[in-house]
Amino acid sequence: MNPVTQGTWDGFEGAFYTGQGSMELIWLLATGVLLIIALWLGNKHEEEAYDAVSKK
Amino acid sequence: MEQELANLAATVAELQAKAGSNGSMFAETFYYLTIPLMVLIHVGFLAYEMGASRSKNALASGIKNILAFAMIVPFFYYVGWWIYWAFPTGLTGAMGAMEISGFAYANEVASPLSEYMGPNLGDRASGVFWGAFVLFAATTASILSGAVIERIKLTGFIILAVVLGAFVWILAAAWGWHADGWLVSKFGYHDFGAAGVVHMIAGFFALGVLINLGPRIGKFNPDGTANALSGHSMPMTLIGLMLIIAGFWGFLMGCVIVPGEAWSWSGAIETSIYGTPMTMSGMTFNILMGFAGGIIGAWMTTRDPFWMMSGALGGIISCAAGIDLWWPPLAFVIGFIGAAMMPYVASFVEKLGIDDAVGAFTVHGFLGLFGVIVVGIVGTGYPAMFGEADVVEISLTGQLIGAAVMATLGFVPGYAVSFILKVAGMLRVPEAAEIVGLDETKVPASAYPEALHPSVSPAE
Repeated sequence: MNPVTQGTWDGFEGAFYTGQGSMELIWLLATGVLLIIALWLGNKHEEEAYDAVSKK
Repeated sequence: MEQELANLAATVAELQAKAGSNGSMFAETFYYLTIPLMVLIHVGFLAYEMGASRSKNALASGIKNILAFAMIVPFFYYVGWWIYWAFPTGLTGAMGAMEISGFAYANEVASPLSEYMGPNLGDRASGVFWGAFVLFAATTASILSGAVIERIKLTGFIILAVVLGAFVWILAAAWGWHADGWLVSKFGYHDFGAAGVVHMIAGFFALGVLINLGPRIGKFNPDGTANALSGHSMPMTLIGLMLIIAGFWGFLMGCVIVPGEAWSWSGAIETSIYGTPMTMSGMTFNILMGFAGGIIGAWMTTRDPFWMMSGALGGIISCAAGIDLWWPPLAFVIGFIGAAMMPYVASFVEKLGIDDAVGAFTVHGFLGLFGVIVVGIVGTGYPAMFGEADVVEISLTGQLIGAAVMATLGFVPGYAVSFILKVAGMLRVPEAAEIVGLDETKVPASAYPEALHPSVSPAE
């Protein structure tokens, strides 16, 4: 039973998050990819800033 | 008559349902509210670290603190919560006597793919417990953050914070802060308020990092004597420390298991995380007495407002492991002695050539150690767990073993990971950036763009 397929909350118990049963791994991997991108860009910015100040 | 009995039964059932709903709502709300209270700890650390930094590094210190908090959240979701439930009995992943641990149990309730790790009408506890533990985790990172200000690379710091907050401390919590934890079930280790599993772990981890990170430029003279590198705002630091103390009420509240729920240890009274009975009322006596003892003890030995406010924190940390048990005047004495020792310990650390910018090892590592051992001296004999006669008792031996495990488990990963980062060139900022200031180098902004103007009285 699922409130989306049944079209009602009546009688429903349990997990009800979006993508339940099919999309968990996708969104979990997406968070990991975003973290890696953010860290990579952050590190790049930091190293470029150190290089710039060292050249002054 | 039968109709009246039926009506009565229906009324009782309705009242039971309402009472059950109210009880669950209370429990959910209780832990939910620990979270914003603990956020105050991070507001405090933010102000404290920015104030303790020189103005040229104030924003960089703030960024480091904010980002550590944010980074720990997803990593604690991925793996931290799972570690807590998977490893209490050791590294084998076996289920313990309480049947709430081991790989199978952790996979069911705490894996990021578990149905309990998101909105679930049948689960009103996982999210708020997870949230409270995330805030404990972020606290460990903030403790590290203060020690390493003004010279650590941001990316290197984030890696260290994630290792500490999402892996190391939570393994310590599984061992010493879980009813199936082997330190608890075998040795009666008692650490109600996380003096060992949070403060010692973070303090000793920070010590390991500091050895590899090295002191700030100008901290030590060629002859080894130390210079005071004063932060730019003592008032900001003092307010930050007081906010940390306000947040500690939420931290200690989060160490309590409320009664009456399916997962509670008791139907009638609050318990510790080990299931031993306690009251929040009793804990209140001891928090305030430890707080007061800490301030006064530090004032006696230093007269310095920084150490006085650190003493308040140190007093509570000294009492934290047994804060469910102390006679309140004893809590005062423990807090007083702990805080009075702080300046001497900090001075000793400095003499070793270690630049702990805010005394994080002293306040958290050393006083966490002191607090854990004091429980073994004064609290010996109390049953360490709930249950019938002959359960394992609190003992000095158990507390010493627990302290040794916490010190090792904190220090070794801190030293090892920071050493790897050092070799990889990811630990310390270049000398030029440190001299110019990290705000100008990489933020890029100034905390005080219109500058700080010293006031001058007419007489001057």
